[in-house]
Amino acid sequence: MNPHPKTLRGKILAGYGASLLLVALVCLWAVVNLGRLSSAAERILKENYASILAADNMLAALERQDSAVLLLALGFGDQARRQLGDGEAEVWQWLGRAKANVTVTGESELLARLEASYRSYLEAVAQLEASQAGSGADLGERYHRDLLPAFLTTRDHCQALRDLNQEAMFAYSGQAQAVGRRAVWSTLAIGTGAVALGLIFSLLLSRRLTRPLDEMAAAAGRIAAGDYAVSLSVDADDELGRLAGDFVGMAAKLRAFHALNLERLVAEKRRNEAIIRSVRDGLLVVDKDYRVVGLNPAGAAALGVAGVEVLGRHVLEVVPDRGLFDRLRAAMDPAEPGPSREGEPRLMTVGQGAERRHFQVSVTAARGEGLVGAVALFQDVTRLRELDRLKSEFVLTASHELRTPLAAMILGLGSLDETAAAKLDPDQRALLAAAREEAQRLRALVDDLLDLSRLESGRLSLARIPVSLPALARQAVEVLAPQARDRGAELLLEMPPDLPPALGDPHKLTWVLTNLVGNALRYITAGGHVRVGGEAAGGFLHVWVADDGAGIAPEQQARVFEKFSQAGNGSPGGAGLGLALCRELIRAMGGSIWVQSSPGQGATFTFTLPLAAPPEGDGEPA
Amino acid sequence: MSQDAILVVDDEKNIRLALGQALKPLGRPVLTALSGEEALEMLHDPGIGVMILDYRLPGIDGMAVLERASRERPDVAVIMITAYGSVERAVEAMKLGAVDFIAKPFAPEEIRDLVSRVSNREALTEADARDYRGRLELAKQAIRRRNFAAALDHARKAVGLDPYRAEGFNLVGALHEILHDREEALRNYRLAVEVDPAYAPAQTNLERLVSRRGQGGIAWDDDAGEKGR
Repeated sequence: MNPHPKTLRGKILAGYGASLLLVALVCLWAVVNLGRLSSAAERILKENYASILAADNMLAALERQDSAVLLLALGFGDQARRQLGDGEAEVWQWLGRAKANVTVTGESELLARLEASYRSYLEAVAQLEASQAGSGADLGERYHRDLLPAFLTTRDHCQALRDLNQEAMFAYSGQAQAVGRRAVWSTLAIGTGAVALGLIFSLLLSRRLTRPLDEMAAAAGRIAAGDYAVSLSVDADDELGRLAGDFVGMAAKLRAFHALNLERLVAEKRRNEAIIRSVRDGLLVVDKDYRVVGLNPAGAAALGVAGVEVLGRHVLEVVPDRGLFDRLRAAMDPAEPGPSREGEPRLMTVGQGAERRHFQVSVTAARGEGLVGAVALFQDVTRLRELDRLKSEFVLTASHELRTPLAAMILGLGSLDETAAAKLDPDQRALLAAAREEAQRLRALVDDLLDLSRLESGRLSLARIPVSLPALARQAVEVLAPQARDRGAELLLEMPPDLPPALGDPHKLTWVLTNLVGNALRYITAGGHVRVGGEAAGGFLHVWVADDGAGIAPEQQARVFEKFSQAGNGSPGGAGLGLALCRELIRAMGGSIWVQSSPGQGATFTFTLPLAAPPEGDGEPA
Repeated sequence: MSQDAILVVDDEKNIRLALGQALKPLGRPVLTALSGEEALEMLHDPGIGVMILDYRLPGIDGMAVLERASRERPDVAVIMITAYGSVERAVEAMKLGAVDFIAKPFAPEEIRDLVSRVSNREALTEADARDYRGRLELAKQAIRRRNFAAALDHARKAVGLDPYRAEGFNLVGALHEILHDREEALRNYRLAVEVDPAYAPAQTNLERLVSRRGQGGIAWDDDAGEKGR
């Protein structure tokens, strides 16, 4: 037997086997019917035909015996006797056969009557033969009287026998026909039934085979679409059943894995949201299409928008300010020439009056596999700005207040110099001169301080007009040439005179150049050199003042531009405000300033200024 | 009686002292007042021709003193002392006939020069002032006399003589402002700044007239400067 009765193969075999069995049954039935038909035909032949043949032969023999009686009457005694003998022998023979083949009811009685009548006919023949000597007329009379009735009776019996068997044969033939018809119908019916059953079996089998497959295909489709909650009615334990079971198991594992991932992602998202919300600085997150994907409360407050409403909208819809957009774009597209590079913070001012707030904005591009988006950080520096403003205000007031005593000092010392100098000895005059000089330095310092504070508080506005730097540099060099000579140093102007004009404030640039050159002169020794040079590069004019003095230690370099700081090598004077003011001025003119130096190698101060647009002569009409 | 006395009004004792000493070489009487009230009292003295007045004073301040002095003694020339590098209220003072300003601190010869110029200006006639400086002095003389139309005429002539100096444009601008022509005032201040970006008074005037920034919305630090012009 099949060791796996419930395997798919088993099912297929069982299905086909059932169909085959039905076909076999139909064949068997047809064979049985054929057998019945042939046996019916055989019986007709065997049982009835023999009796009919016997009856016919007996009739023929009787006829011949009758004609022999005539021959006898006509005098042909020998021939008649021979003929009678033959006829008798034949009748007995066929009678014997008929008797041996009694098949129809009433046949044996009929045969018995036939035998009796034949015997009486034979007796009559014998009597006739014995009285042969009689006359012909007499013979004829006896024939009619004795012989003929026996003959007729016997003949009638024979005919009856034949008729009987013929009727039986017809009856059997009808029977056989009925059997044949039945066989046809029954075979047809059983065949049809078998075909129908086979069809049903096939349908059931195919259904059974394909249903789990269909279900699995549908389930696979759902999983592919992200719906992992599939269940299959696993009601079979064949190969398909096992496959379905494994499939469901796989789906469950997938679902668990997915849920785990989703959980992790959701947790990650929540954590990020919590971080963003808890950050006290404003955060604006945009995707690479500049759609807002995140905005924490501080950011919403900074931009003056409702946090939830803006999600998914374009940043320009949310903040209709090109400034922020330009910065985001600049951060995301390094090739885009924007107002600020990534990471470089810029100050943004929102609102006005008491509501005015200042934010330092840093934009950082988020990159994963390619660009993901950008994050803008808004740091509220309003308080710092306020402090800064107060400080500037204070410095402004202080420098203002310093002017009055300074004015009295300068006036007094000036008057003293004019009126009393002649009465003083040289030492006293030197003291007076020193006092006047220091008063003037104090005045310069107060002016610088005022300029610086005004610049920082945005009160000092600068011109931005095309300026020829070589001319300004020459001016500064000429002014400071005597000072260089005094120190035994060489002051060299190495700036090409055909430099393109830069945008800036000529007055302040002269100040910057003078300050840088003066600063350099202070730090070089006799025999040293100060070089002033410049070149145009990348939309900016670079101007440098290089010395070969003691240089600046690296840790000092970052601080030289801070207020009241100076290189710590015992500087000969210098207020420490000059470089700070230089930086503020250069920045206000849209440039930058830096120093390159190493101790013993001198220092090079370089500042940049944006180049003036191509000269188109667009000056205002006079 | 000649009007050659100089009145110094300052609350700072040392300034009064130093100014007095600095003005001595002029050989003119120097009177001092330490408050606005005292100054107005002293202005009754008809011998005073020039008043050197500090903006900041205790009690009634320099502008209030100027305002009353311009009514009571319009013949007195006023020099305003400021502590700033530029005069924020210069035009306001000009309306009251004060055209001369000096910023603290200053040297003795600076104030002496200014006093001399102011005194000489009073007698100036058109015949002997045909150059740039002379025209400007005539304009200032006209302002002193509150004849702003004439002042504008002189100032324009000065500008015509030398269109590369900021002071003339600035004065024309200020006069337009006094005569309530804001557009012309702006234009001339701009020209002054254009001619000499370092000329602080014109810049101050321009900034004052053009309200900078503050329209609300969002401003970035790097678009300052552009608007300044």
